[in-house]
Amino acid sequence: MKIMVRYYGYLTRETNKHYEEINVDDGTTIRTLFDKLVIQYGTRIRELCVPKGELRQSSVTVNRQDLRDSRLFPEGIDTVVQEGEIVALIGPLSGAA
Amino acid sequence: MKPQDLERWNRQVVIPQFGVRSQEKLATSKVAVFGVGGVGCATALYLAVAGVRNLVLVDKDIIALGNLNRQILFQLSDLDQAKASTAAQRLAAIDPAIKIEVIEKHVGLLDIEDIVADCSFVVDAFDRIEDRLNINQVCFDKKLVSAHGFAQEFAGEVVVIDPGKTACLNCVLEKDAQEPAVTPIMGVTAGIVGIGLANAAIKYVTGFGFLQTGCRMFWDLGFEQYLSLPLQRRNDCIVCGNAGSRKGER
Repeated sequence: MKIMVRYYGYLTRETNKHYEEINVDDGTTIRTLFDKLVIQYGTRIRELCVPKGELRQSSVTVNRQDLRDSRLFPEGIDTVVQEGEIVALIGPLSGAA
Repeated sequence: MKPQDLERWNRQVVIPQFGVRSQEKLATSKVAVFGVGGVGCATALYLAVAGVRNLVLVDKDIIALGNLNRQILFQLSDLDQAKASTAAQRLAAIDPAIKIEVIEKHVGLLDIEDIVADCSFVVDAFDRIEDRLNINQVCFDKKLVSAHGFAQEFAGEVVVIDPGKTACLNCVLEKDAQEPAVTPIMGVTAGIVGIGLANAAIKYVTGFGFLQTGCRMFWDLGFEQYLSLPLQRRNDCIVCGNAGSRKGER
């Protein structure tokens, strides 16, 4: 199945992309999505979004919703992604002025 | 309020629950704008036209051709001129009654302390993480509310910090991240972030509406998306956490 992944801030430099459609297996979670992205882009992408495997400071949204919101995503980083969903990897605050 | 001031701001003093009283609060407030680049230009411009009549503009840089895609207070004839004083001239042309303090040097902790001493609100439109953290430190020590702007490519963020109540910038910045020598940025991104910072300042000093604090207010202009993402305070933060303030480590 296909999902959309969007990259922001430092992550665009790691991927050299703003967005891409990715084919993932059924049952793919945000955690295993990172495993896939790390193979393609290196470990930095995971370190920036989920340092020590933890969701911190709003790094990941699914369909515009904060993955840390336990009411919406009780499984957190182990939430299974669905066909057509948009996963945004926002990463830490960054940018000049 | 003078008749000509009432006329100048007649479109905003008629806003219900804003009124002359908010306008007078703007006129007597003092706002420091650190950084007069793409974001800071928009912030300073919108604060000036809104009626903030005491501004401090801080920037050590001079105007380069590559600034003109986003630094809207400057024009071709300003190349090689200092940003802060050039911005001050433009704002004075819009409203000669504005008192503008211009600081054209690199500012450290002690400078920042002096600059913000009598300010109502602080805007961080700086580039470098170290400078941003210095502003954060001083604002935390002085319990001053501050707004911080981040802009890159087609995405921008505003974070408003209320010392002691929200996470501070030190809780959330990736201090080890490699900052690029040149940040890719669209002028529209800098503009939206700059206006977001000005709006935060206006709301804070007037008390109008609701000021979102402790969140990443995130605009993705590439995909027309706005998100408000709460920030988590870190207990081990050396500025605002249990580890205490690092004041004195200068």
